[in-house]
Amino acid sequence: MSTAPNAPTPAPRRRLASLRRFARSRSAVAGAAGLLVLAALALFAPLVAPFDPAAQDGEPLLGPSGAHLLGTDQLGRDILSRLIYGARASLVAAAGAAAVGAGIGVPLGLLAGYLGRWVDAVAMRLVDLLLAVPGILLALVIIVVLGPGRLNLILAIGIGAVPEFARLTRVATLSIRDRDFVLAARGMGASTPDTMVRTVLPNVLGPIVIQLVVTASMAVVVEAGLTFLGLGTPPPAPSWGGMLQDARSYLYQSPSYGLFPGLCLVATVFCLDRIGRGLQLAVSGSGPHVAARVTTGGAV
Amino acid sequence: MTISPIQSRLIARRTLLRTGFLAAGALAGAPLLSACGSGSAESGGGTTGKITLGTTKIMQFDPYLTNTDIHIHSFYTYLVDYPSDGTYKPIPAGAEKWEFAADRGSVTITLRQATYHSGAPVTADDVVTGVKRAQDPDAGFTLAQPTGFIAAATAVDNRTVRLDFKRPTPEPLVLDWMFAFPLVPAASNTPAKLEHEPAGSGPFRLVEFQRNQRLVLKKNPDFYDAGKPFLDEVEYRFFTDEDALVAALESGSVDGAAYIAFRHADRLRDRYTLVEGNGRMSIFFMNALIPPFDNKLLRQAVGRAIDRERILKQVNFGIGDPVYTAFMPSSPAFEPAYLDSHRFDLDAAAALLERSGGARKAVAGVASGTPDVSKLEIIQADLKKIGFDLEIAPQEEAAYLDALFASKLQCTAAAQPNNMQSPSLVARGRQMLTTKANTTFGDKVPPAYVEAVDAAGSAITPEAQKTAYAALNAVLVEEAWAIGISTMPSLFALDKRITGLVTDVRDFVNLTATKG
Repeated sequence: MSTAPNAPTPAPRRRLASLRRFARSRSAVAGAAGLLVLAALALFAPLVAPFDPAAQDGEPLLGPSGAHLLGTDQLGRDILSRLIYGARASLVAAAGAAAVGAGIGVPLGLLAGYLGRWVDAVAMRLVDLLLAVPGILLALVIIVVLGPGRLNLILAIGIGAVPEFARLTRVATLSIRDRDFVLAARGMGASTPDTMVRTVLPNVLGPIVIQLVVTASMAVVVEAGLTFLGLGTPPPAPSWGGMLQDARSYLYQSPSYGLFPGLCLVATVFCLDRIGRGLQLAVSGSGPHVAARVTTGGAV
Repeated sequence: MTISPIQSRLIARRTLLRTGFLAAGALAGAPLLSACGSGSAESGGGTTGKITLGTTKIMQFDPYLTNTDIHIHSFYTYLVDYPSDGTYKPIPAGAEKWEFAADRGSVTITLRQATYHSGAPVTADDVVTGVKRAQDPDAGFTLAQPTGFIAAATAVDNRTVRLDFKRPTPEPLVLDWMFAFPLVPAASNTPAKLEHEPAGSGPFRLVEFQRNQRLVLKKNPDFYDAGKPFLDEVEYRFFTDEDALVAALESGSVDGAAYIAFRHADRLRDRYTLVEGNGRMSIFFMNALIPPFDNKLLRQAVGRAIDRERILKQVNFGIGDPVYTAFMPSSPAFEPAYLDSHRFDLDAAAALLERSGGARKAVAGVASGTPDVSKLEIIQADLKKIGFDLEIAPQEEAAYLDALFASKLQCTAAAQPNNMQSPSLVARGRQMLTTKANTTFGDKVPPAYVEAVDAAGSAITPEAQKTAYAALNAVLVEEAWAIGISTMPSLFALDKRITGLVTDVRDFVNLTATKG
């Protein structure tokens, strides 16, 4: 492994300092705790949910009661159980879309920023092409072409997030590619891929991690939006967006029905937003990289 | 809290002022409000006026198309009318009288002396041209199959036309055809010419049409039925979203909302007049061209796993009636016994599923955001109980229709029109055709079905009709590719001052006797 001789701060110490800064933000910690609870509920849904989310056993459109804490939907399914299971769709979409976006965008940005010249030009024009189409429209087109389904939904949202990751990574790479520790790594004989992966990438990870959280937050909303339009998670799998779509038809018969999936969406996005802010605090000034600007809206 | 004399006086003065303002406002506002409304010139059920109807339906001016139910009766006169109560006693309309040959091999129709909106007289040549168009499968659209019994149309004189049949044909089938046959000037009777402008002799004339925005109609003073229509003007406003349409109704922007979903019924019932139209049927179609539904026993198994009562209660909000084969309760072929003998029974379904030995997985296509999704979810949950995995794949509406018409869906829930008093008209829909154009069977349409449709379309005597309809029902039950779920009446919410809005047996709006 090639080691930069004048890297400013050892990685473990830097990470510890970042963690301390994150922990100092109460709202970030609360957001992380909220998300952990949600993730645990989603993971252990079969143990936690009082009913099978697809079981149409109850009376339709019951209000909250002892038997059904949040009531039942139009087909007599337990709303609480569907909310708990629905968290899976949202969190899987969030994690999947962020992974797809980063998985394509980060290597693209790294190559463009580090190699420059025609590679940079081609990569950035590709990114410009993606940026030219509004994110939600791009996702709709992808879903219509590939067909509805969870995997296609993740791909659709993730591809929409590629430009942000690519541009962010490129800017951060450009800012450090001529720094001494990178030149030293090259001077010590490290190959170009090795330098990019082992020396440059770890030093641009901070803003990428923040972008991951931002993308996840937007993916939750877009997943709900596409499912609301009937193009996301197919029935009977519960999804908060699908529940909102159903509830919309029964607003007058059961006003509380639409309230709960809406609240879940707001809470999840709020948690992710707080985590993103906390990470921003944690990352700023914690390494040799320039604190790159993280996109906070309208990317997907 | 105590009130001082000064405060008391102030309050009294304020109260007085407020009362005065309210009284003045009421006096000034009453005429203003009545002027602002799109209401009638005569209140309390008067005979003139204007109404504004909101709709989410698309507009076509070609009466040979079916997606014209909201307004087409306003522009066109048909040869006969049926009463709006769902019965089939013919009422002379474009045809003044008609006479069947003793052998039921032809009918001679005398046209009423009437004029089109252009001022030109209605002639027998127009009927002859119209029949020729209906016989052309590319231009006849939904009239093509029902016109199949006609061999030739001949203009006897200017107002008399004779239709010769290919073989003796039952009167109900001819009357159903006459009911669906519009009078259109020969020169205008092409899909291209009727695409943008109507050309009829109906109760209303076109004044203005802005696509996706508004359509304004004015009373036709030359309408054959003297004194009708009662309304002077009708305006349609188009909405892309049904909730926006209902909100417009509640805000008073429109006087009526047409073809709204059942879910609005309970909420609007007290404040508006709810009108239930004759509607259509909801049918569960299974595609015999694609596995697993190429297996007849499997189709029969699914037929026994459809819980009609629950669908009616939870999806239709209690509106409509169950059906098993594709015949409305008003049809002479409606056979309620099948609802009992083939009722929802998961044990019977499981036994049939076991016997079928077929795959236990299928995908149902459906247009996203429609009540059909909920129907499929109910069927899906029941099928799961007997070990059959039905996946639901909602699609954007255009993509869904493309897949449906291209026979790419394994199964779906879709609407089927009323077959009126002629059960052989069941073969109008693409999934029900007796030809290789049938999207469910292709060139393997069951011969027994072809024979049964043919027999139903040629049975003259009541006894022969009874036998033919029973045979048609039997083959539909046996082949089980189109399983009836329920009727789906259309629903209108109207301002209480509007009366007389009805739909005909095809579920087309008829405003001839509407008062506002």
